[in-house]
Amino acid sequence: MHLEQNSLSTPSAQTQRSGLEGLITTLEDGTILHLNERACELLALDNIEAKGKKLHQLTTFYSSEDASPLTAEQTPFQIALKNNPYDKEIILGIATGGTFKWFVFHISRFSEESKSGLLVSFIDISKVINQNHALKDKQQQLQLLVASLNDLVFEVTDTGVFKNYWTNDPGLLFYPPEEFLNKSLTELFPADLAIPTIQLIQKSLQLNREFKMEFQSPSEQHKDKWYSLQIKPIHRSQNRIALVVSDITKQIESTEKIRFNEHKFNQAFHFSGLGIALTNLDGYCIESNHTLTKILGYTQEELSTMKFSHNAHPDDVERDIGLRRQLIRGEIETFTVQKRYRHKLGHYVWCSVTIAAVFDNANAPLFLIVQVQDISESKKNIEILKRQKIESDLVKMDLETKVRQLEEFTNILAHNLKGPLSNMPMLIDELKVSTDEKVKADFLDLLKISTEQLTETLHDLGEILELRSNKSLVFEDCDFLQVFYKVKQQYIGEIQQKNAVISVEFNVTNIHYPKIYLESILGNLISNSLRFTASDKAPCIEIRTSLEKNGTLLTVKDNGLGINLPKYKSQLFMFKKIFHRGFESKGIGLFLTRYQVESLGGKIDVQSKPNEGSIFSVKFLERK
Amino acid sequence: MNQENNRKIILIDDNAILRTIFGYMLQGFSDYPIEFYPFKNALDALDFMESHDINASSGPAVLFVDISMPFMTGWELMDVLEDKTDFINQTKIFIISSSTSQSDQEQLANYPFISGFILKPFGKELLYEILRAPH
Repeated sequence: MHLEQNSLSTPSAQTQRSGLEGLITTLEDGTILHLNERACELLALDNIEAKGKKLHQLTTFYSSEDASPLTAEQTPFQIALKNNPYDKEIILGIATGGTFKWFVFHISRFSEESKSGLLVSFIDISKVINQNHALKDKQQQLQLLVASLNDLVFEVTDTGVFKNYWTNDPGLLFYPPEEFLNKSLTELFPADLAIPTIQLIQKSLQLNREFKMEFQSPSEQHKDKWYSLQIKPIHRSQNRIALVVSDITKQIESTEKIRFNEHKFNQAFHFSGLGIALTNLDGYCIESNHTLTKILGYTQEELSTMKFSHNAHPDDVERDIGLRRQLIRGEIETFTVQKRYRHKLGHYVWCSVTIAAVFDNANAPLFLIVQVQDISESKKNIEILKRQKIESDLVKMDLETKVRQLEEFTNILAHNLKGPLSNMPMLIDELKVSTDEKVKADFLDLLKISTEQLTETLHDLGEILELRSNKSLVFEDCDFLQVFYKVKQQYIGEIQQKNAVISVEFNVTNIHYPKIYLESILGNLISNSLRFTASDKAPCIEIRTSLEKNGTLLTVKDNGLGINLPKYKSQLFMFKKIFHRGFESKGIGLFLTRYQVESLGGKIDVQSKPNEGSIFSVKFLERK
Repeated sequence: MNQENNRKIILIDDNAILRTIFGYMLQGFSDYPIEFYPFKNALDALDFMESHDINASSGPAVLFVDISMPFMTGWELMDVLEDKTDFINQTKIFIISSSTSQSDQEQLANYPFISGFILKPFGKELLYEILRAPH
């Protein structure tokens, strides 16, 4: 804008006509000399009234920086007087009904004749300023937006040259901005990343579509970092795209983890040695693995329409209902039961079944994982083992008894046979050398007695050996009461003589056993009780039978002398052991009884205290 | 003859015949005067030994003990004597038995105070040899 100096103090034709420009001339102190129509229009002033007044008194001006009102002193129309030389442009606004109008003022000095003053010319630039403000707002919003992103956003040309970038953290950039701006992807990155990217950029521009790719960090140091790269065509731009790079390492890691877990579960599910099925909460099979089809004989398709409990053995259906309920309520994590499932072919298979529930995030049960192990083989084996154990236990007991008996025979041989036998050569030696007829006669007597003793011992032993080898024993049904009556008859003399009372209580009335043994056992026990009696009380003998865990128990209780068990128990049932001084006894009864009992797998035992009587108990092993 | 000075020979064996033969054998021993005390069980012998000072004589008493006997075996008697230190120091103890069993031989090692093991049958020469051995 240019005005001739000489026309300034008065409105010239040119200024009056000027269409866009407002013109005002003032004195040095700001008093308006002259203003054109446009100036009146723009500043909403009345031409007549305005003259002679000062511009800053007529209108409040606002700063273009922050839209704050300026005081009179701050307006350039006055300050300008003090600043020589003065020639400047300034943007100021005025308020018109809620909005601002913006003007650019050009202020310059003039002097004409005696007068000097200011020439203020201005045009309306509201549109530009408002646009500028809107732009600034947008930029600010954009900055806020960028700051809130964790992504890097670049503006890139169709040939892959970086033109601009936005980030909230410049540390995230691959290079310092000055190193990558205006450089091409191919210069900055390895070909295997740059080339596909450029291809995508061109495709995106051609098709006006978004594209996306993922890549691993090209830098060796950050090999484990993963990024996603989004290519977006920029609206109304022919050859620029926005390139958005986001760090997706965490997502990649977690998807990797999920994929790995899924894979793990799949492998475990399909290749497990256990039969596995996923069922819904009602027990309907959702999915099953191959092993399960082998266990149950149904195909996966057949299984998928089945309810598990339909195949359970009727006796086992109830077995896990309670546990299943607890599982679904989340009270237990898992449970295992053994139950039978019907095979497709109709037979039942013993299975060990472990069930666990899977819950969603809200802890609602989703489905059940059922693991099935075929344990019919081991069930069978356990049964076999149990049977074999019982058998081998019996054999072991039998062998232990036999070994003990063998040791006893060695003992009998050493003491009971060799002893009397050893007397004989000694007697013969004396007989040979002795001249005394009396001594010779005595020794011959002794020799005879020795022979008799030996014969008797051999006879006793023979009886015992017969027991051991007797295989023709006849097992028959023995009535305890009848056996008792028969035995009692044998000892009726002693019973009457000692005034003995014998009571019986046969809770078990019969036993399958060799009758002669039973008579002998009962006879020996009664005979012992009758023999070793206390002198001050009448013998009282109680005989009873009862059913024990695996056999019949016979007890004979007396109130006789009793036995010092701690001392004698080890010898009580031995051959020719005598425990009561002053009684007629060969010490063979209990030994024989024990042999009879043990030869058929039974046991004999005793409880006793001196002077308090004894309780002999015989456990008969039931033969089936 | 002063009985107190005679050496005491004690035999504990439940076999009456052996006790008789043993007695006859001792009658043939004439080196020095002896007194013979046969017992048919160890309990009776213990009673005797506790009530008599058997070692107050010309030489230590000699005990011959059978193993297999009723009421108290020879080994059980050894268990009782084991604690009577004075007695076992002054007395010679022999086991006489017909047993050659391993377990009896092992038992012997448990009682170091036993002077020897005599296997039945035995002749009077062996008996005399024992009696003639220096005290």
